[in-house]
Amino acid sequence: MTSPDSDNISSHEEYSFQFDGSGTTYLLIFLKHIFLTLVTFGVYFAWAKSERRAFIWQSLSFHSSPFRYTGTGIELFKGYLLVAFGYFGFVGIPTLVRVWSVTLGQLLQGALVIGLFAVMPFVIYRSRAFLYSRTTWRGIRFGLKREYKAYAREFYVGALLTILTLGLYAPITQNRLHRILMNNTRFGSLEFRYDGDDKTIWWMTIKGVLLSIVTLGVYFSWFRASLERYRAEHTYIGESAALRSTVSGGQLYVLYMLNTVGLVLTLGLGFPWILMYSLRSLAGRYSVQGFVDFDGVVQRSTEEGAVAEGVADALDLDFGF
Amino acid sequence: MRVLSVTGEFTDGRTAALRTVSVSYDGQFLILRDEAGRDVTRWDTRRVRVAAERPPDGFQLECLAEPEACLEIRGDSLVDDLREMGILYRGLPQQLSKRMFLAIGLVAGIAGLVGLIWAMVTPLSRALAQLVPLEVERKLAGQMELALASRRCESDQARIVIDALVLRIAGPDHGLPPVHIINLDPVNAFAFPGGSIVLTRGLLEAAERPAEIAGILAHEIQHVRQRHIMTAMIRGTLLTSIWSVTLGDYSGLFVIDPTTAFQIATLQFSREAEASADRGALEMLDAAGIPRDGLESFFDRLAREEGSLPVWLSTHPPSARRAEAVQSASSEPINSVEPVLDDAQWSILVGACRGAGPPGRILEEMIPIHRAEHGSLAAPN
Repeated sequence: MTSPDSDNISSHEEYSFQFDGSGTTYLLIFLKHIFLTLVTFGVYFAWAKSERRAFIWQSLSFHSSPFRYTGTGIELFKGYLLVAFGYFGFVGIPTLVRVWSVTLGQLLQGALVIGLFAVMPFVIYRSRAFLYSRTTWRGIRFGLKREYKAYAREFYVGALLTILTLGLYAPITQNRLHRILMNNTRFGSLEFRYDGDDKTIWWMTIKGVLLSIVTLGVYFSWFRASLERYRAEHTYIGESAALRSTVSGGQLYVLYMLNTVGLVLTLGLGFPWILMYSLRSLAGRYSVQGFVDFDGVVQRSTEEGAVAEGVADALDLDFGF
Repeated sequence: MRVLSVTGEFTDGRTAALRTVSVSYDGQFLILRDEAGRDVTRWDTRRVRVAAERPPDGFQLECLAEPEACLEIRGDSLVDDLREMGILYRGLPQQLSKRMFLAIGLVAGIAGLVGLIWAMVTPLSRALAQLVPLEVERKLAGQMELALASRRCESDQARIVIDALVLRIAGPDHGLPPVHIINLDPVNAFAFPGGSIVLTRGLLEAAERPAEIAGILAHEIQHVRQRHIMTAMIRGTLLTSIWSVTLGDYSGLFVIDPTTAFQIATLQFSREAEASADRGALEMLDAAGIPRDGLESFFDRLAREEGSLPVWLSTHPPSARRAEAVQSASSEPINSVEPVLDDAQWSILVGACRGAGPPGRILEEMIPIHRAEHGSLAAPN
């Protein structure tokens, strides 16, 4: 498959994103979830997460049609149940073994940490696949092709080279992992493609990190914004459309301040409104330019379990959702 | 019967094409027709449900027969229409007043539940603590006992004196907790994870007579017997787990942080635990024929040194209040049948650490709080 010609993506059309979730509604949902989670000793958590996600998804529209999250609480719960057993194995067994023999307990823990690292790329990939398979727009599902191996290979090699180069390789491996994910992403029969250049990303990151250090962190928002814009510009949707972002450093800086200082000033109570405002502000800065033949986008079947989702959550690889 | 007649947007779940349709209702079916008037689909209203609200006046509907298809309709009287058709589930809050009511109810419910959990967690922890063998508690405490062991300074003679004293206080019927003297300046005594008791050199030197040491030992033995350390560990773990699960973080489960065991042992038992240890100590002293006034005079001196620390600031019951409690319980003075320790034994005990090196830094750092809280004289836990 060749890269879409940028001439094809001359702005025939601009399809915009819009977020219209209300902070008050989100607060009510959140309060309900705290209540039911406490009543059920935590069991309701999976349903709560599912419902919160559904609310955020349906508040986000693209080209005036909302997204939908079709995942259910029960499938997340099953995933969490398996993770809970896994977690007991991971933390509980070495702790118990250590009561009997400290050395054996430590050896076992070491082996488990290595095992955890080995499965991590699969967990990240499958968790993303689950999320996509439960996301629809106009009834058509998103999906991620089953290309775990390429992702895992890049993950292991990237981790090794990142350690050997004292972190200098990290931007490249991040870009490659992102490319694998995007190149395997599809919306129904419509395929995504990313061709962001490793070298450009590397220079951008090195400059961003250095200037962030010099400016005591202030420049970081501008670096993130430039990275977001670059990634969006190099993300193609089908043959004749591409993602566009006008996220600016100033905007990210304001959002960052709002999410830290704002939360502290409101003693955390402002979080539903701050979260909704942040999503509204970000969604308005993304669009798809070019032409997408929505009538020609056809549904594809998909099947992904929620186990990886649970694992990803336990490992705190939640992708911000 | 209402006659529904609205236009809507329909996606069939096979392609991403969006079609404008007119929607009518014939008493059982929702009939969707395209702009040319041709039937697109018919949905049996018994199998139709609201997939999502689309504020301010819209709904997304879906039908079990075509799970991937979706119809979005808008209109002023839709709520009534959908209710009449039995599609709209009751209880969806539509008005602000209902939402306010819901919010107040939820906040009150959450507060009630938190209160209930708070009230239940201590008795539950106490019951669970009794099931955990002391050996397991000691293992959980990890390397801390080793750090203490390197600072122990009792001589063989002191060992004999202290073991005899513990035997007299605790009686021969129960297992005797090992008691160690460590070379530290702060005036302190604490029950240690795993059932041993630690007295500091500072405490021995600050004590004015054997009955004071006996009183403190009795108090610490009660902490061990009543399993206060394990109770506090389980309670902390339970509260952390409940909190983290409520916030959605399952990683807080199954984790018992052994480093907290030492803090719990040295810093804070609940006031109930302290009071209970005091009561048990008095009973034990009575049974052993040891005067209670040792504990009393020790607390009296503590109270004078503490000044006026507010009750709520202290993790311990204030020493003055404890002294009062002990005094009021001491209504029947016990006539000691024999002295607690003779002069020679007392001298051996007080001088247990003479000739030992300077106190270790690690332990100095581990036990700084009492000095800060209580000046030069610390309350035994």
